[in-house]
Amino acid sequence: MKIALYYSFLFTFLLTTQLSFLDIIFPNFLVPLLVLSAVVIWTVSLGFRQALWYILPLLISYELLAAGNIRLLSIFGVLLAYGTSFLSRRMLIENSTLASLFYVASIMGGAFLYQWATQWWLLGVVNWPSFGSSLLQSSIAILVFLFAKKILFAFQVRIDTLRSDKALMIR
Amino acid sequence: MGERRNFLQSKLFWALLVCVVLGLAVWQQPVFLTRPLKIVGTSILWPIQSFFAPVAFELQDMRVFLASIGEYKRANEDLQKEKLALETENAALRDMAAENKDLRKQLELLPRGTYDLKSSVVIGRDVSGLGNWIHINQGSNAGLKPGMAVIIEAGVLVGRVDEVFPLTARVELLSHAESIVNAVTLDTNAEGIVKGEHGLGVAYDMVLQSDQLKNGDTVVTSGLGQVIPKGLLIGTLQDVRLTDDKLFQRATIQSPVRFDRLRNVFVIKGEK
Repeated sequence: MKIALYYSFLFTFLLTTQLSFLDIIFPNFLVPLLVLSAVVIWTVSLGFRQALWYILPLLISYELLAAGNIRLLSIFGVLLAYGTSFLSRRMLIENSTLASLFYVASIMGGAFLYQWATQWWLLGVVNWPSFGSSLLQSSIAILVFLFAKKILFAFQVRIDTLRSDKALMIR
Repeated sequence: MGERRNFLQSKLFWALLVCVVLGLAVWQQPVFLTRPLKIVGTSILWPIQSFFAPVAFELQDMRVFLASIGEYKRANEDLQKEKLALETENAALRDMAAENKDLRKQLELLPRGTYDLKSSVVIGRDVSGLGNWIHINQGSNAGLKPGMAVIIEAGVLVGRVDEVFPLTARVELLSHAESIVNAVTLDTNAEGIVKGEHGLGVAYDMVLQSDQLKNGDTVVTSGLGQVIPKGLLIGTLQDVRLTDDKLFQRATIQSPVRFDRLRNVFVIKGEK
């Protein structure tokens, strides 16, 4: 029960920060950076299959609350998680800074792909972003990634503690 | 057999399976499942969004201010010139307003702008579909219904209520691809429809070739269909041209509103 409440709190926090904070400050990014960061971080830290239990509710809730129906972002998020898992297994990076850069590159790659796919799907053409806007978006993506990493890792530690407490109580 | 079991346990299989299930959900849109989730979700998020959104708007203002600080000096000079021109125009308009009031009184017409308005604050936005929705902090508890017109204080139409929840509502902006509003031009009385262009702007479309369209003409709602009141400002025309099939005329509408900076809006619940 306590763990479920913690998860609800985390999801509420992530969704509100994306919908009512980042989307308002940066309305031209066309992509939910925090949601995609959470997808990548969960995939890397928990593994693809375990991460699906967190990724799917987050993506579906975001889609439902933002647009009112399930859209292609959910499918795209799952493919991003699979792609990240696939690449991270083949590119084992020891250095944590390099690893973080790789994960940010995954998020940015995913973000740009999603923007282009959305534009192509809706408009039939792709408007290439300027160098300045790409640079700004990448810088913000790094900050959002670091923020999300700190929050999600702290949360995972808390959940692990709760789980071990629960296991001890059972014994 | 072993290979088959391996594939069924592989990540690729799970990714494909989830994508197929989600693809079916995208295609079918199971409203009976998603509607309760949306109501619960919006009710939980509403108080936190009401706190986050004003903070985000302040930060956005600061960001815009810092980004455009160099342009302010030149804009100030332009505004001084514009102020002089407007003062002259204002004097003429005040005279016309008095005359208009007398005429309305004689014809027993209702004054304009007598709407039952519900003021609302923007508490969320969707950027992932080219920015076509906003979320406001009033819902069915405040008497909002789908289809109601959403304006800003000067009587400029920005969209309409798309879906209502007990405490919040989602507003479809004019720039949404599925947004269609009946409109008419003020100078030439050319009727047409205002269509969204996937978050990139608004177009005036389906205008008969026999009607006259001119750049700079003002577009207002025509009131056809009676859902959106008559006379709400939408914008001014630019770049008049023929449609690709050469059957109708089409123009781009320059809206006086920046859809990505909407902060306070009013929902028209009806006439007073």
